[in-house]
Amino acid sequence: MTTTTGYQAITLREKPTVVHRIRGLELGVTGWIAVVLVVVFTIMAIAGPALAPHDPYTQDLLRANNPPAPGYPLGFDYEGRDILSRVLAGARTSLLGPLLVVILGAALATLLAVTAAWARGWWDASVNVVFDFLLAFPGLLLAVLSVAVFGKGLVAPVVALAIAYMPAMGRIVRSGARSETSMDYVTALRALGVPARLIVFRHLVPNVTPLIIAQATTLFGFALLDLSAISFLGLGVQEPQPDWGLMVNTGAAGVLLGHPAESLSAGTCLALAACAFTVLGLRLSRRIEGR
Amino acid sequence: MPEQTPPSAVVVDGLERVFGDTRAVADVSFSVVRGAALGIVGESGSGKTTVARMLMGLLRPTSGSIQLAGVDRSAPPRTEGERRERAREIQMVFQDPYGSLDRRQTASAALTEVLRLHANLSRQQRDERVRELGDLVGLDKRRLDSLPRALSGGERQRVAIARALATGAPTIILDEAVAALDVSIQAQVLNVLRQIREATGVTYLLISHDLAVVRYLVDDVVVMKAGAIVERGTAAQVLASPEHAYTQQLRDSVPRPNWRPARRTREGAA
Repeated sequence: MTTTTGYQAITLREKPTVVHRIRGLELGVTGWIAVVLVVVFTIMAIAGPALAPHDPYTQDLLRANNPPAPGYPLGFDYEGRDILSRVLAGARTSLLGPLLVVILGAALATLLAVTAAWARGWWDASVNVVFDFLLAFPGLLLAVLSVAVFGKGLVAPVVALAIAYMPAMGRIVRSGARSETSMDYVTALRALGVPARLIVFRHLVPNVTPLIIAQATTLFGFALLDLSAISFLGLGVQEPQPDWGLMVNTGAAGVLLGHPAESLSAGTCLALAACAFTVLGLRLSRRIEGR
Repeated sequence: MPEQTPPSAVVVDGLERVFGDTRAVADVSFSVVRGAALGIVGESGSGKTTVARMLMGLLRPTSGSIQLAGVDRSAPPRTEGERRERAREIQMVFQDPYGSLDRRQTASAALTEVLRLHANLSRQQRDERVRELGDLVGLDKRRLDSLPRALSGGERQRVAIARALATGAPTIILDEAVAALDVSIQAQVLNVLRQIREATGVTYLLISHDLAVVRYLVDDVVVMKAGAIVERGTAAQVLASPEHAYTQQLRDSVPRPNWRPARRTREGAA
């Protein structure tokens, strides 16, 4: 086996092993810390409610704002619920929102951007105008507006943020798809009689997927913060559902009573998760650009 | 110019293409008999590739006509159906073996995709045909199941040739198809091309700036300069006693018995 640097990491092997692929990512120490955190948070989101030692909904006003006790390492919130359980259970609601934002946003962005790069002409111009127009709106503003129109809850802000984040992804995907369309293989596929829709969805989209994933990972961090801000303001996830943004708000009473565990733990989770996803996304983008 | 008594694969008459102020192709006429091979020779910028793109239906001629197998194909196809039809009549192998294959598609997947489009075969027959095409260009099963990344330049070019053949097109344009390869690999690929021609009777249009390559593969040659044909004849005749000063110049860059590869200029490669 010979190895060389650059895009051709492994020359004589057709199918690189998992180890080779992971090494080939070249994420650096910070990148790998981000990967570990992302994995931890993913596990929390999937298994968090099951990992919770107590029921996150059980109230006991007699121990409201009580400090940590045996079996309750983070103490109790203002309604006497176990904070640790609520942090663990809150992972799912807190991370599901941004995931939906990113999936919906990426799907819309990819559809518009890749077809625009392929078709050029008026469609490309219109898509660009839409992207430019949406870029002028801050995501949070759009999300708050949508709550005002469609009511509280997760659905309206998720859809609004997906639309707000779409141009950021769309622009990058469009320029990536555009450089793909100028490659010989696309001309060859056209000359081979492959229908346009197959060239777009079977060849262009898979080839820009790494770009989409990197960009979506970065934006996941931003979406997490925006959605938490909305929940913090009381416009998103509603009590008694556990959610990190909401917990930063409800924990404010504890902060005044010298018992900041709720705000602090939820806030720490938010900060770590947002940083981890953003850093990982940036590392992946840099890696793709370097190719 | 030999008149076509046997059926012609390609007839080009008065072909012209203008880009802005420049005439990339001016009054180009030639014809290729079915099963023959024509070399189109000239330096880069002489309009060779523009002619190829018009033949492929990727570019609309400003004027002039193109006939493929006796049918008028002057205009590019408009619909997907017409595009597929044209694909079955003429194919092209590109110069750059690194850019002409989808890097996320294995060789066999690329061939299968084309066969699915152009041949009505069962899954089993398709797999069989992929193996046949692989045999024809000298790619074993292991190579066929590889991504382009794992293949050498010569192997990629074989995949591109097999893919062109998969459409069943009787005419194939080789646009500097070996120019990007090492000299030893060039020879291998040229051999493959010659064998394919003997085995299938395919018609070649070989576009090249390299007269050594042309001499190896073709019968007739047209020499292009600044968009126009300046000389034509059989390969042997044109290369042995070129009449035009430009052809003489081109010939001087051909390998001779005491020619050393290091002295070859690469300026015409693009």
